[in-house]
Amino acid sequence: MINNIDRDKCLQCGTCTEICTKDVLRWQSPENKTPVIRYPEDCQTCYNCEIMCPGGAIWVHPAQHKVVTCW
Amino acid sequence: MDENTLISPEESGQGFSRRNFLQGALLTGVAVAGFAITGCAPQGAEPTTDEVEEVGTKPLPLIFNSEEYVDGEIVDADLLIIGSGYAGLWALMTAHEKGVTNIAVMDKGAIGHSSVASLTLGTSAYVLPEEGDDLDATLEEVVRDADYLSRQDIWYDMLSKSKERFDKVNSMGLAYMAPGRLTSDGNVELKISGGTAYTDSTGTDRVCGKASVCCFMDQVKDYEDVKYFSKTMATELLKEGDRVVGAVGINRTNGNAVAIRAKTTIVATGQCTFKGQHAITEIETGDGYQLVYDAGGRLNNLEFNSFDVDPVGYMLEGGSILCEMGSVLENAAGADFMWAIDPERGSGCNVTYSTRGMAMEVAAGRGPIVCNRNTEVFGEVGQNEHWLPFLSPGSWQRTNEDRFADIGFNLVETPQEFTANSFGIIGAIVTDVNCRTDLPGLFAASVAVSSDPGKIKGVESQRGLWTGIQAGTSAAEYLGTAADVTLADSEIAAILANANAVLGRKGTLTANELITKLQRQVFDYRVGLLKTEESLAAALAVCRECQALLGQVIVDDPHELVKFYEARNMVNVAELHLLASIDRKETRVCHLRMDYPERKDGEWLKWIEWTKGADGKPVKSYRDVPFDEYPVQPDAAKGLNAVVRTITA
Repeated sequence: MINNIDRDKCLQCGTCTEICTKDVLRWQSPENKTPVIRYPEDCQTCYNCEIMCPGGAIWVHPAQHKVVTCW
Repeated sequence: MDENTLISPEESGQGFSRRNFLQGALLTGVAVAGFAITGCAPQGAEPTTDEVEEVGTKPLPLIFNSEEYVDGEIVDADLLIIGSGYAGLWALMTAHEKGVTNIAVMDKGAIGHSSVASLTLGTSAYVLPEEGDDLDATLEEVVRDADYLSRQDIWYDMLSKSKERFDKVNSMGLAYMAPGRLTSDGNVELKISGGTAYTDSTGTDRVCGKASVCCFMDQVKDYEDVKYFSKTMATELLKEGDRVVGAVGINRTNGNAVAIRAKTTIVATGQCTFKGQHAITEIETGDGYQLVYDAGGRLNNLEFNSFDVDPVGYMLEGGSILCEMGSVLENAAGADFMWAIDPERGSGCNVTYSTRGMAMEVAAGRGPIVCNRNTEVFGEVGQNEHWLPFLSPGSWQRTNEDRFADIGFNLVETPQEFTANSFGIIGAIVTDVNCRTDLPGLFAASVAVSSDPGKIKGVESQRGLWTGIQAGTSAAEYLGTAADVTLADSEIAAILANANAVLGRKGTLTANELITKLQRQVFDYRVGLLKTEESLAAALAVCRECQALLGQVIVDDPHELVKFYEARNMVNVAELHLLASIDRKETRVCHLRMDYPERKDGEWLKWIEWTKGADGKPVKSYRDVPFDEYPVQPDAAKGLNAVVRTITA
């Protein structure tokens, strides 16, 4: 799950918010594209935001938060 | 977590030091920089925001900005493509090459980047006769391993033309990093080219699925007659009589509804994984199935669903491949139990058997199951070149494994508990070999097109490319004679108003709570893996409870509105899945009925198809597999027939 966004490295480019597959991230405002983790429970730990972040500002923890297991 | 807080590692209180964070970031950054062509400047694409300076280790990625639309807006197009993964992008390329203009592309996420395809390894299976591949033999093996329920017309066309696509992707600059022959499930020997590499137009080196998607996006980025509608979920197809004439979608950030009134439509939305637990497939919630079903199209093979292996609490794409390479599944007593299930390959067997075997061990009280990667065999095989694509720096697979190391989760030295995780429904939309559905003006692409009930590694991406070409070609041909759309604005307005009418509903449960209720049924090993009449009927009853609860889902913002529609789609697909599972009273491919463990070719060489009745209820029909038209004939002695061994305590 997305865990940390380093404000010192964040470029406010909006990339992470745009490409998140699960709409987890939103901008603070249309004028301020600093991301907030608005819906953390929906993160699917795909690392898309981390891999695509131009500033290397995002760190995703690998643990899943799956509620339901097969057994 | 405070949604408005950007937290540094020190502030997180989560035990991750800034040093660890920097190491993690540096690992990714160095890996990418190491892969990059030094001194490379961005090429072509502009940053998404003018005011952002280009700093950091990477340029801004290519992103297709979305059209902005007001609530209730109607946009006219010649072609609407719903979904922008491999198939959607190849449909766009193909249609454009054939002269189609005024194209709209709609995606629930970002164009290209949010697709499941962009997050995969990027492997793709080709048949290359000039390198000794035998098309007829490959077809026979593929059909045999799907227990003869394949659409042989689709497979033959797809495989026979795969060389053309291989050449085309090469000409685009997409390189396969580990070409070579890999057996996909131990039997089928398609030439699987593992992992891809590509330097995109921003000058960034991409790997795996990202490389493929960025390559395809580069092909279309300069098209001037395409409008993108990202973060827009299609909720309903528009119809004019029997003809499909576009779709209505809703924006997941502001809740606005938009109608794309189009002469022709391609649905390329992937499968239904019920927000599955395996790999990164949560975006596939059966959206295309619901759209086509509601519009009057046909679905089939919905009884077939697959699972894969993962460490408990984590994901690991390629877990089953690790078993093929020598990792061993062991029960609580440390026994290598899979030899009882598959005497030839043990843990390295088809994942259909390994997940089934794991479930049987658990059912017999011999769990938990661990995956032991520290074996002599893996130690040798794991180092060979075939593993390289799975470790490509910059891929989610490599990032994920590096992150395991960061947090001290060691898969190699310490056997970890593994589980079976749902990968979703294999069945899909019924089309002809040209990806035409039953409905005029509607075509399908991606793995949303039904081809067979099996799951062969590396073929999903090939199905994406092939269906994209077929659907794009067919849509272009259709446009040559298609009449103008006369569906009036006033008729569309009512549908638009209905699309977001539930926004603001108070409700009694969240979409996530409803989805969890459904998942507890379809993910349960007694419903998904070791099926019985009793377990399926019980699950169906709960599924119908979920359908009744849809009207109680809280929809307090546009994000939840999309999740409401996703829940709707999943619940309805689950109903068909469970009905089909109950109906097929035999075992075939990944559909195992513990109460009907034998494959019954005499009775069940047919597809179970579903359409929506006038009363809104599912209508079932059967269609015999047309073996008189197919080159491969069924052989009762061959196939991925279940080898069910009741394990007693």
